[in-house]
Amino acid sequence: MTIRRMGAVLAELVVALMIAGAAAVIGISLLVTAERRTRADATADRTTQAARDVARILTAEIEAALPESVAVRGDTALDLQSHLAASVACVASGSVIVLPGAATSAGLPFTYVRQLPEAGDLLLAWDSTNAGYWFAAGVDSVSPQPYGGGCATTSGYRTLADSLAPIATTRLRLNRTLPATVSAGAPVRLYRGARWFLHRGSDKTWALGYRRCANASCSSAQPVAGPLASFADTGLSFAVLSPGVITISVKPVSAAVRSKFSVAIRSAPDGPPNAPP
Amino acid sequence: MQRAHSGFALPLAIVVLVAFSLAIALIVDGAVSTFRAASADFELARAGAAAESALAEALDSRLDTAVLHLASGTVLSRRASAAPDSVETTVQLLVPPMVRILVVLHSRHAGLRVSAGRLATGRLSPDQVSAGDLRIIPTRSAWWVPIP
Repeated sequence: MTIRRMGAVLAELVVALMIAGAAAVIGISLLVTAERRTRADATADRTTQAARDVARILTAEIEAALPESVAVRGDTALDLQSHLAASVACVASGSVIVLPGAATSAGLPFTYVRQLPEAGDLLLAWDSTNAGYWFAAGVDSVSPQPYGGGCATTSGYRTLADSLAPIATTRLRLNRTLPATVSAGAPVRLYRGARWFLHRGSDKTWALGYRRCANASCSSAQPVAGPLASFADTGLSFAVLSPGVITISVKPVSAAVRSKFSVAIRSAPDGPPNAPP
Repeated sequence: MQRAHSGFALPLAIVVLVAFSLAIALIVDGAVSTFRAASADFELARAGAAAESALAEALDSRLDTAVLHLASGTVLSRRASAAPDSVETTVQLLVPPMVRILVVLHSRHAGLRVSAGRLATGRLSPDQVSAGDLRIIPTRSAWWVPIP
């Protein structure tokens, strides 16, 4: 005979409730610990990320900058000519230079643009006179040229497909006349004056700040990466501890320790002598 | 006499297992996010270093003097692969004797895809050691830039 018992006795119920309670307490405490740990990890990540961002931005800026323009101002600001574009002159005549398009329908382009050039930027064009030097001029105006602006398909720097597409070239008017020895095919670089510094925002937080500079005057500041420790706590500092090497110290706002890293200015070791621009 | 027992053991075990799984999932998720960020940074740095090496190699290589007779705008390109990297090295002939060297490296490792590029400007000069060859001498200033 089988006796089917319906429900549980009180003792069973009490034991089950106690076990469930204990399991719930353990589970909840585990969840709380995990959540706290995740939150702490996220804060640490953000702190590390702020230091990482500053390191990545400044390393990229210094390495690609015009080497002789990199200068430490005081110990909380760094001035440099920031790299905008690398190209080739398709047309070089008078005070006008035309650069091929940054895109091409086949192969690799002759122009690489990091930021679009604007009036006030610095242009360097290679002058092959003697051992060669970089001829420097300011950019007065920039205009896209959908139909080539004189950059012919026979030049070798604009394909027929690019012309038919049409892929625009860029025409730059300079504040100086190009020497006759700067001709089509001359390597061209474009730079923009910049200042990187420890910036205090209107919300009283500190960050890596950027100012665009031209002709000894700088525009308003923009915060770029942070938050960093305050000026009093040396959130960001620059130093030249050995020639050609910039050492940067950065301390995110909630970090216990500061990060230090060094960036070498990339001057070619054995290039031809360079006449001053 | 048999008794069919209907207690709380199974639902309780399920609840406990779910709670534990959730806690472990949270911890593992945090660890994986941190690991991924670190891996991406590491892979980018490694790709950058590999592109630097490839550029140094390209600058050390020699070109035949015949390239001086090629038209401006001519592009010479070669590709090399060694897992996990593939490197494309391109020489663009500009106004003689100027050239540009572009190195573009693509890497795929541990599910991460990264790319790094370097561009250098130089001039061709007769090689003093090997007659009939040309070497590339980088311009002293503004000779190097990373490219997207």
